[in-house]
Amino acid sequence: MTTPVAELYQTLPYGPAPEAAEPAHQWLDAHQRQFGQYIDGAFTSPARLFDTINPANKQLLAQVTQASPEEVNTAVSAARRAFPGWSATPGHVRARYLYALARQVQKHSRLLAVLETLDNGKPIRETRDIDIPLVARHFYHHAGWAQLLEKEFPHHEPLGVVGQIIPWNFPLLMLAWKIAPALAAGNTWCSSPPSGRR
Amino acid sequence: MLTEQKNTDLSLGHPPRNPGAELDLSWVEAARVNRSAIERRADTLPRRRTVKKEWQAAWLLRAIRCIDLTTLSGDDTRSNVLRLCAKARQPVRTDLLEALGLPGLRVGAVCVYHLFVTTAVEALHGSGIPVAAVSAGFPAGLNPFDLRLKEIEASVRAGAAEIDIVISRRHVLSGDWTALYEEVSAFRQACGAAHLKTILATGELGTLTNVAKASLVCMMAGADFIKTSTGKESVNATLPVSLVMVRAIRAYLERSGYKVGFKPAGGVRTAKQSLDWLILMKEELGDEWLSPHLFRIGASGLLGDIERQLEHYLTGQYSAAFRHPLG
Repeated sequence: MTTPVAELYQTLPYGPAPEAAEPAHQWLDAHQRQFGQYIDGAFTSPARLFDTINPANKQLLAQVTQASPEEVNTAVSAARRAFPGWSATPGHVRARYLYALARQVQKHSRLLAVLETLDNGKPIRETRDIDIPLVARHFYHHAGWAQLLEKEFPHHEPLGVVGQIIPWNFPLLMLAWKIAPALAAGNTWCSSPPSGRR
Repeated sequence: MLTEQKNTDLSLGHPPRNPGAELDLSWVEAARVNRSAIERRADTLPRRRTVKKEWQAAWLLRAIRCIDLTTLSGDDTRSNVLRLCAKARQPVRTDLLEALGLPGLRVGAVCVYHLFVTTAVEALHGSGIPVAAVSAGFPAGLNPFDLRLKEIEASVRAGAAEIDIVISRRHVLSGDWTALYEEVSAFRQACGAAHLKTILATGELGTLTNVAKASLVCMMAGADFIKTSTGKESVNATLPVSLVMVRAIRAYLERSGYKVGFKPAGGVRTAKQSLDWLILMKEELGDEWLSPHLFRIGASGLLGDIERQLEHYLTGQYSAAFRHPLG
């Protein structure tokens, strides 16, 4: 049932802007809708699963691993092992990795935006126009700082392994916002997504 | 017939006319524009909102309602102007308008040189469409000052309800805000009851900060509309410049309580562009600035493209441009 043009003419509202969710669902299907922990460059096999749902329709999106204390320890020691190498990497080289991350975010921005909306329940307009573009911008911005770090911040040293607990409201954006400067400065990191979104 | 008029004539009444204010130089001097921020906002504005299908048709009809249908060429003739006025009365083919449910639709105004005001007034008699005249030494604004005033007075006597004037760019470029204020105030006096649109010729003002300052001075001097360009500069209406101007309008509204209109002109040729400007107005100033009382698009070639898009909406097919007479 379409609204008559003459009626729309009176108030001039915006039209709806639906975004197809199929590619995001296909991506989830390609991962069997089950996810392990990403530790030391590889996914662990899914275990101790809990559901993550689409808050808009309460349907199951995927199942995610609840980390055990042992897994947390494994992750932290992996990050600790990676630290000497990463912190000794010249700033210009670290910048290359961050630039690459930013480009990948831009390349897959539509998928990331739709996933974020499915998972978080916020409007697509917000994830598409704010969250994901800012994720890319944070990586670009701090890639620039990585390049200039030795000159602009002499006698500064990376701290080591950074632990991050992400809030629920801007999950991917908060992740990028904090890890981009941490990585740029030569730290390694472990982060935990917000458990409140279960 | 009455209901048809009601359909196409938006219920919003004319807001109270801007009486102008004392020249506040400290305000003018304090005006600043962040160019990068303006460019980014102008770049994303048209991409963030969706106006498709029946929404697009409705928005395009509204764009027509806000067009100042213009002919300002050296080769204008009486018959050109008569044809333009016929188009103003019937901007889109009758069958298309009837199918869209807005049979009485007409444009915002017809804009011509002073010489053709009488012709246009006669041709538009009884239609309710106002005639706008470009007076005061269009397009350079470098004619003797007393002649510029006399041209405005003559246009008003000839029946022009709206006067589009060009400001003296040299006052802006040399920062002589008092001279600009006095010039525009004198034009406003000469206009009397006719509405005054001040053309800033933004393509020649150098910086966006100058655009913001000139906009404020013109509104303080009593402009009813501020307009981007004459259409004769090498750079005419652009979205960044428009954004700066509508933000100046918002600042003036917040401080004085008076609503000033905005008119982009020059270079608006496609239906898509007209939607971009409507989105800009809706986002930055609100729905009231989507009516011809506060928003006009100065264009000569735009209407033809809009008519093609409307036909496409109804039939699913694009017609060749020549199928629609005069844009």
